[in-house]
Amino acid sequence: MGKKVIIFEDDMDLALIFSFLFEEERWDVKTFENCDCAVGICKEYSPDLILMDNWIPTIGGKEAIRQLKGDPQLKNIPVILVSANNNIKEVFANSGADAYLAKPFDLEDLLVLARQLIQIKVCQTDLLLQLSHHEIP
Amino acid sequence: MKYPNNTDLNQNDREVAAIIESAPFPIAVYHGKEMRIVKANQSVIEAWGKGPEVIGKTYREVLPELEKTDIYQKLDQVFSTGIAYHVRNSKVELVVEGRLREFYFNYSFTPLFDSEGKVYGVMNTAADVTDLNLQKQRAEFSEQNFREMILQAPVAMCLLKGPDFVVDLANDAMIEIWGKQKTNVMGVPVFKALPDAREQGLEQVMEAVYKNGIPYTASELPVVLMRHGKQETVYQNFTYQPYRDQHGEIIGILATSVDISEQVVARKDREKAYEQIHLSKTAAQVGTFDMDLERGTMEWDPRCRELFGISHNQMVNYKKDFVQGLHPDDRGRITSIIDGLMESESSGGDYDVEYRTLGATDHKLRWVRAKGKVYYEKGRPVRFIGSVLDITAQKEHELSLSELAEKQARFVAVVNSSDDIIISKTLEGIITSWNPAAERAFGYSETEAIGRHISIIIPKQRLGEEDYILSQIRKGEKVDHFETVRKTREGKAVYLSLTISPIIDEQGKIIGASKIGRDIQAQKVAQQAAGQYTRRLEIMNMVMGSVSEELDLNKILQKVTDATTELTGAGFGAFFYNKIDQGGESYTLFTLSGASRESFEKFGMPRNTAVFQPTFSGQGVVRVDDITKDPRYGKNDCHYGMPKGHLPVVSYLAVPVTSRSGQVIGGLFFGHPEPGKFTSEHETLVISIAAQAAISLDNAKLLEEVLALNDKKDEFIGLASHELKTPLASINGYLQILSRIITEDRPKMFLEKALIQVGRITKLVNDLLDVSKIEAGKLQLTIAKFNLISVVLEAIELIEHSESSHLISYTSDIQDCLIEGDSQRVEQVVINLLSNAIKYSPKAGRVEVTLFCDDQKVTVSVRDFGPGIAPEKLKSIFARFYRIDEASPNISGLGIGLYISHEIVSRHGGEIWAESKLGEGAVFYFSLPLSLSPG
Repeated sequence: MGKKVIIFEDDMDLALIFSFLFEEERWDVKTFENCDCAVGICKEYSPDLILMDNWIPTIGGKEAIRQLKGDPQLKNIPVILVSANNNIKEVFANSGADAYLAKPFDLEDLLVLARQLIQIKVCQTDLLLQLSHHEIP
Repeated sequence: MKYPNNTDLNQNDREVAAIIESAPFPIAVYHGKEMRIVKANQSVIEAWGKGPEVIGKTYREVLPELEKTDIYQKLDQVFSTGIAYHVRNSKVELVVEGRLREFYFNYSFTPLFDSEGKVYGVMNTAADVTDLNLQKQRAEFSEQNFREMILQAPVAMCLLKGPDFVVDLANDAMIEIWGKQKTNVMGVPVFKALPDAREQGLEQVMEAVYKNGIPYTASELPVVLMRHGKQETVYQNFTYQPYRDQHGEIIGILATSVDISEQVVARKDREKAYEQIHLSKTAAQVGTFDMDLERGTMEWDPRCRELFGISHNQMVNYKKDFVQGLHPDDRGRITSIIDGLMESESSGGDYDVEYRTLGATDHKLRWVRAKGKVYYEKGRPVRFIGSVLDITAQKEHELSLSELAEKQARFVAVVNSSDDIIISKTLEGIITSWNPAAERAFGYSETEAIGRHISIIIPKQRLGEEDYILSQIRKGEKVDHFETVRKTREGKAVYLSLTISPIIDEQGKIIGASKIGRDIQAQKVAQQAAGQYTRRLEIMNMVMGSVSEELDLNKILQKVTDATTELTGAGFGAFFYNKIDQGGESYTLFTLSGASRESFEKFGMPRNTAVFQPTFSGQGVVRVDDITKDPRYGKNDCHYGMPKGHLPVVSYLAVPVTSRSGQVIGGLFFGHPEPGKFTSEHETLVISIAAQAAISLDNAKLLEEVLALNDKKDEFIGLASHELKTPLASINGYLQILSRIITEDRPKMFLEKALIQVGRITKLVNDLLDVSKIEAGKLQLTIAKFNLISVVLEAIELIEHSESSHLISYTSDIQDCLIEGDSQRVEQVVINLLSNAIKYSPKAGRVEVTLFCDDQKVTVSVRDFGPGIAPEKLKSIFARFYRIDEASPNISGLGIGLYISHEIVSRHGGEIWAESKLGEGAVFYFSLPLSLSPG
């Protein structure tokens, strides 16, 4: 079953590039030009991965991530922060995102990152499942 | 009648006669009525105390002493009746050896009958029981005596007989103890007579004595008895002793009892009284001391010890505990008093002193009153007893009272002799005290003033002040140095500086106010001048200082306005300041002092009127005593003078504010409703402040511009970062997608080259942004611990990936090198040095990297084998935009890589340098401290 990714990116070129890349990998892709309804959108689609541009109308990527990570239902979905900022590390450090991608970027890097994050999420879910089934002796 | 003849005695008769003769008891035979003694044995003759001559004589002849007794009659009776007579223990007095003696006999007169049954004689037999009788008599006497003794005993006694303890005998004292009628108890078992004495354990005790014969003694035994009809407790000391008969058998109890109720009650009362004394002693916290002067010992009770602050429980010692415990100031006095008491009895021995003690362990000071007495024996003191009482509180109170009295006396003296006016009044303003200075100042005598309202000295227009003063006083606040005017009896004004304080009673309630007034008339003028001058200097100083430090435009304007308005004593002041906004439009800011904004806003500020024009055009200061009378006034077209509602201005002062460039940037305007308020001095002051203000305003303006520029620069960096990189990212993305789609070699190769160029642009953009950040001091480091070796190896790998022309070797003697710093920025330095090494040595095929470490820093070197750098240029290579053009005419670059590297290394507290000789390649080094020093 294909993975679902939601891309919040106001630059249409980049949105197109991301879509192409993930669709080529047979992912289910949804793109949005602003992040104001990020929580609602993500609840509707339950994505496996979220790509969030830092500088996106109107509340900004940072605020959107804060909202996403503050939601118990969505907090475990990995989020990649995408930014052209030179200090992307600092922006990332305070964002709550799971990984970052500096513009411009290497597509292959992005794919590797995406797969790794999903892998981690799967592992986490499995672990939680195992724990919940594990009888305490 | 026939009488037997002695000679005719037959054998039988002789035998009888022999028996009679030898019988151990008296036997005699009398014949005939005349009782002629015919026979009398030895025993009877002895008993009679006679000789054998009695035979043949008559009884009467032999015993004439019996004449008075009835014995002759008895004999006659026996003879005539023939009935025998027996008597026991009969007292018979006989003359024996010439002396009448008392004898006791048991004797019989037995008739002797002849053959015809006629009495012919009497036989007398007797037993001398005199000894027996005397004994019995003696015994009877002692029993009587014993009973008499009991009856007359001074203590209560009774004899209880038999197992029922029948009251056989009881004396009055006992009857009294019992509290019963004598007749009701005698012959009655005691516990029946005294039913109320039962069940108090006495029966058992008594029975035990009766049974065992062991006497029982009890002292102070309380026995509850019904005495004379009421219940009373009788305390007795008593003994129960067994009462025995002559054979030693116990036949009763002899009880002796002493009623000690009175003593016991008295003692109990005494004990109670003592207890009460003790209690009251404890309550009064009286301590006691007792010195045995003969033995030299001293005893103190706990309270006494407490008063001397003694915590131990051992024996106290006169010198150590008492003398040393006294306050040093009292020690000599008290010891000499005691020594006096010890020396002679003439002192009477009374001791009553007050002294202070210093607690041995608690070091507390206590006042003690000691009272006592020394007892003497033969003129020598033997005992010293007394009590001590803590009078600290009382003493302190006394002391404080005396202090208070002293203070009060002193205070009265001060008040009376003071040159200051001192008045006190109630909260209603009624005068309660009035000192001589007040008399002198106001002309009212003390008697005249007291009881009147304070308003007698307050001028009408200042009556409101009193309300203010009293309201402060009611709040408990002091009014300090309140300068005002009061009037004398004659209505003359008196300049006063008042200090009014609340008068507070013992409960802390404010009951009035004391007012101290100082005549300041004389001082007033001199002080005003001096005070004003210093104040001006102070304000000048303050304004100069604070304004020159201040860079906020509005604050400068306000400070200058406030200060100059105060300095000139103006009714109000305003600072109009011309400003040009970003659009080049000029507008006016203004600040006010002594007037509200609304009173100005509605009028605008016409610059071209005759009055204002000289100021705004920088022609100079305008100072007019009465502007309404000035020829320039009232010339404006619109209002012809001040508009309606304008603040009243008569005195007018306007000073232009000119910048360094000579441009008028504003003006200071002052007004006062009264004429002639502004002097040349004011003018000078304002001019100097205006000059200072102009400089500050220039500075503030410059700063504003700089800040605006800086903000713009930051904004630019941010924007550039986004705006430059976003298209780059798109291009980069598209190119990558194409290269994923296109599989043919040639187009794919072109795409790769395009991508490399995009990479170069990206790097340049990043470098430029870094430079901007460095310039703005905004290059930020993210500090963490990291392994430098991994970073160096990663960088090598990355470079090898993109530049395959050179072989990069790495050597180090250590495996790990943990340092603190921003790993990404450090990697940037390594990549930079590696790229440079490759870029500047295109003909060489290798680059050498080494890493070595000491205990403080780690050094990385990158060696290339290119043309090298001339020594004189080595120092400049880390400068911004520096390029060694002649050495590398074909090598592109902005010359910012080393500059950024230098900045990064410096920010880490490290060093970066290069060693090189022309033609021998170059070695670039950077070293970083293993840990960042704080700050």
